[in-house]
Amino acid sequence: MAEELRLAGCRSRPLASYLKALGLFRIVARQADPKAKARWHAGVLEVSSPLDRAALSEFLLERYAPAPVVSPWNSGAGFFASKPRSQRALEWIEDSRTPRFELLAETISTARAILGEHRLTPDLPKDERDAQLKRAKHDIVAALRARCPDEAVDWIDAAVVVLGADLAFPQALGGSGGLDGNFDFAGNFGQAIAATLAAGTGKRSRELLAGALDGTPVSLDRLSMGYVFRDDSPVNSPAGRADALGNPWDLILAVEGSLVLVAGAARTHGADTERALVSPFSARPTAAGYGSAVVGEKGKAELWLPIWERWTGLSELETLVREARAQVGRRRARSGLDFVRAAGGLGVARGIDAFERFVVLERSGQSSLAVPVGRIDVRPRPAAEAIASIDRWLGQLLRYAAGDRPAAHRRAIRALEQALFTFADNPAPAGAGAALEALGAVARGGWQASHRRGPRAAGLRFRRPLARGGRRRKP
Amino acid sequence: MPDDFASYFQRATGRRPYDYQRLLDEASEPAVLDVPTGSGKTHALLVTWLHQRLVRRNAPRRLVYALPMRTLVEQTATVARELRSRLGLAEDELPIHVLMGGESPADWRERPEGDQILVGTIDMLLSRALNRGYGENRFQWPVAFGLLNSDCRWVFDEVQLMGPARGTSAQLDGLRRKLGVMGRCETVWASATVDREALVSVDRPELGPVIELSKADRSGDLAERLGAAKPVERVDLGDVPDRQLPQELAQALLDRHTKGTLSIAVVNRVQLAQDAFRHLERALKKVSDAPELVVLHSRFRPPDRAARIGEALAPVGGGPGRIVVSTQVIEAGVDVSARLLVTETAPFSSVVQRLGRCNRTGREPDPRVVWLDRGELDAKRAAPYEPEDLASAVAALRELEGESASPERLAAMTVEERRPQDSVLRRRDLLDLFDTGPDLSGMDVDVSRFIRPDEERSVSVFFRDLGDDPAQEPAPARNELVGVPLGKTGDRTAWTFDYVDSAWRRTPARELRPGERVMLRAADGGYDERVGWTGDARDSVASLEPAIVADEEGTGDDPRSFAREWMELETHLAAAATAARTLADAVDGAGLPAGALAAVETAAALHDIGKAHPVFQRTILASCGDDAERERRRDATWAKSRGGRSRHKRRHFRHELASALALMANGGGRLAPNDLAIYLIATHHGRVRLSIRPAPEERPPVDRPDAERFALGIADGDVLPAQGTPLGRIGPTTLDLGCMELGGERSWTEAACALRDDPGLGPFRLAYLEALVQVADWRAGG
Repeated sequence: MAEELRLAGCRSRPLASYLKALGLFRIVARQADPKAKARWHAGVLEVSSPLDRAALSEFLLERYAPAPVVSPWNSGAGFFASKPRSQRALEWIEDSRTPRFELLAETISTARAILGEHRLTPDLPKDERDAQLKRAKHDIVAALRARCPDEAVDWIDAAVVVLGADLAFPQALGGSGGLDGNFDFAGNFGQAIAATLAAGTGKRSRELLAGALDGTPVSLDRLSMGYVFRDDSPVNSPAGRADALGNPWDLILAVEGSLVLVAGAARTHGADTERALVSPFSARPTAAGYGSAVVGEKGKAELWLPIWERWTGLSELETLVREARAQVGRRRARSGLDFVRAAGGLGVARGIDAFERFVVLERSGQSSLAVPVGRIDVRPRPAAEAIASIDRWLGQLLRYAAGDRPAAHRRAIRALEQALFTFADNPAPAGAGAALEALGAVARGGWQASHRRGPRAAGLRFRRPLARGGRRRKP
Repeated sequence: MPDDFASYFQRATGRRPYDYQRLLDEASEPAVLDVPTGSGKTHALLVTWLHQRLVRRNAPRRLVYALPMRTLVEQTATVARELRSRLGLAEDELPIHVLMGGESPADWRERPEGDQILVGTIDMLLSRALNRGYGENRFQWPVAFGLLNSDCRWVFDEVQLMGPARGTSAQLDGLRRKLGVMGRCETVWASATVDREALVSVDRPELGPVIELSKADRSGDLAERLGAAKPVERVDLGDVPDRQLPQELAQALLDRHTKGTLSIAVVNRVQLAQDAFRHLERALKKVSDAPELVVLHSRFRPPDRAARIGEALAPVGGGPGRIVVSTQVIEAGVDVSARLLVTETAPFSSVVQRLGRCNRTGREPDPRVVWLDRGELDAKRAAPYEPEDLASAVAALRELEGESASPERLAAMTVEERRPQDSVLRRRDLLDLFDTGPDLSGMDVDVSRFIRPDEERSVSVFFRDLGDDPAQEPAPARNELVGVPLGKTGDRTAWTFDYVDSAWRRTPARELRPGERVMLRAADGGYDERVGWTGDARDSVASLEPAIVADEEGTGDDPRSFAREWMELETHLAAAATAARTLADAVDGAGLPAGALAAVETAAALHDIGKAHPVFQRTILASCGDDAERERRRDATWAKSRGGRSRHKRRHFRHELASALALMANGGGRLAPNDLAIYLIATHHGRVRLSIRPAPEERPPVDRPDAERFALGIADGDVLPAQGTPLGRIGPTTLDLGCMELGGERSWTEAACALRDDPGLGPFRLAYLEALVQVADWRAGG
């Protein structure tokens, strides 16, 4: 008999919560019931499986086998003496010798062997270690992917993609190989595992788990949390320091959830090896549609994470993510603007009802935050289709803007992109006017043929971009 | 009494088998054959399979013989044909097919139940085994994938030249065992220089049985070859600048060449071979009894290559003799014996192979090996090899200086070689590859990282005298294609085939993909039939008449429906059902779950009912000669016509999707095939895979502009008229595309994933069944 559980703690935003929801579903479907299904309803995850709420807790506390998540390519992941807490956690896991940690322990020991082959011992002096890690990073990742158990490959692919002689870093995990500033997802995952699962099934463990699943109030542990937890709200924004507070189950489940967000080989190893490809549903930011809090900040990337409202199994969801189809005409969506167009045309898989949109911002040094900037419904947007007629021209313009250009040029082009986003999302007459105005500003901008670094030099031709589209899309 | 191996071998080859050859025949599923160059590996591998398959009936049906170079493919295919004729086997009893770049490979797939030998290059064969056949129609990838991963014995010869393919083949072997195949699918790796550790991988943890020379072999007939004299002379080129290298090489050859003999130089790069060849040409221009000159490398069109190889390998009958300058294409396995062999420094395993071309028989007078020692090289100058590998080879070769590098002496040396960390094929990669995907906009998985080293990625180029409409040029034939490294086509205008629009499209050089066929303008030059691809615009190229004119196939195309005789739908279904039954009876189905072969028969009996769709019938009637014929034919439902190709009124229309939807809508009725049969029906043209998606830029059909759901020319709510089938009559059915959506009760993706992930089926067996349905369909169309 299938139980339908509504898990109030697993909401579609912030990012940590979205990932947590995916993680919970992945664990249930992989380890408890392959036929389990999940859906989003009013922003909250619902899971259908034979487990009722009590059985779910028992399962997670007593039987759940954590995914083999290790990042030996990072210095702070517990393989080196400089992070004693993570190091102790890995040792505890290796020594525990219980079946539920078997895969994790095996992966840790393979990782140690590979580090050893690269003369990377735990006590290596910092400078030497960092230099050697940097040199050998590619080979270490490739060797891990070649030799670790299948389950560990999921994590490696979620964190790092080996592209020929290069490495690329998917965005969902901070875009730098399972690392956000000084925060190492895998090292902290290990710590959280050791902390929660070593603590047994007592009252405190149950409270923490209930806090994570149901959103019930619970006093938090001292625990660093990664950027996926930082969403610009006053409570969370100071996090990232070692004394921040958090619920270890939130971290465990979010890391498990990141394992769902892995692009398929068609995306990562297609002909078009552009960097953003390595993360499914991620895009170059389009600074439009944000709340006032983040205006004027530099976005690193956007994530457009799918919301579906029909019961769906994990393998189908994974197929959807691996395909990560978001297309504008015949090309892949590359920016926030493209995504809103894909969601308004026929560019996304049928059955995705909406996207939860997050902007990843870089703040305070290298650590980031992921700000939810709204839900974009999938529905026909005639205006979005109208933009198709200037697609080619716009693409050239944006490529031009990506280079080292005069500030005025970049500003005008960004304004155009914002205006088009607003117009595509909601084609009110005012939006159309703003879009036309921005187009005009770009077209008569200060870059005439004489300007050597102007768009003309970059091969752009300003030949009436609206000649066809303009008439058709009169509001 | 059946033939014992020794007399069978004698009959096939004309001589008694060596002891190790007998051991190979007796071994059960041997994994590695490790014997020195020149000791008869090819015969061993071919004859043991022939004996096991044809006499003892205990080997898989298909022998898939994969080699790293085209030269070897041609040579091995020739040997196989000789064996066949000595054994008195007819061609159709034992077809031997060759798969190389551009080869038209259609017919080998049409006999899944017959005995067969496939000989091909590693990239052609392995790309097919990975469901991304190079140069193959993308919609038929799953057929080759299905047939090459079940009921085969794979042989990888000259393993040391395989690059990443070595690890990939090991992983494939391991994954086949884990995911299950139809019948048996086994692999043998063979070489004189096998790095055994490289054949052990995460999913294939055991090396398996190894066959080597036995004691008896070391004293018998083989001994003369094993001890053949090959004195090594070192020429110090440490101080010679790179640009003088071609000249020095030419001089080394001219100084030592003897009349009436064969001299071979093996170098590391095409450019050097071509430049040295030009030097020799100039030097010998005015010489009256100059030796013949040949340059050999991989960048030739097949007819030119065949001509050059013919020249290089023809017996030297007295006279001035011959000088061949070659790249690695002649390094391994080629059965030729030179008196003089000149080589650059190469990784030691390659050196061993190269030396195998010198005094191979042990009977050359005054044999000589000349090693051009350039000292230590940096990464750039060492390319395509690694400096470390060359350094350890230099050390080993210095040890050999002045001595004889006989096969026996070489076998006793161990030289460390770097084992690069190649991309390793993991289970999840294979599952990704299983989906040949809905995305036709160029986002294909590039499998070349699993097959070749990076620097060898190339495209297949062909030249045409282009008129006004390059878009409609016919597809290239094998004889026109030449491999050119990606990025070396320069700023020439290039065209590639667009599968959505069924037309050749101009493509910038940076968007070319490995393995792709690229059309160039003959007037832009770059090729010389004696020297091969040079990239030099001054080298003029004559475009060839395409030998076979086959059109490329787009999403909405269906050439088999419009190329033959008129056939009514029910007749075609009945024929397909019969063909499927014949196939199902012929293959033993070992390892398939119960009901799997029955599902193939059901699928064949129902596969084309979607052709009853008015869109299809309208198109097929349009191919009638005149109105009278059209009127006459209007009362029947047709599956095939004789007319030429015509386009459906709805772009991208796929009848097999209509078939599958009709049967899904029919759920619960008498004609309710199971998910497996429906999957096989929907996928039988390779367009519908794990998901049902509209084609890129597909719009609602013109006659159903308001349809909310549509895909591949089918709109939600279309009605398929009633239709008779071999299994009974199916009433009019309303098609429901609800299954294309994520989740819900009847999600297509979920059902397809469940079949793929079913431990009793899995990707290999599923694809094998798909192949059977396709073949049955082909046979029924004839």
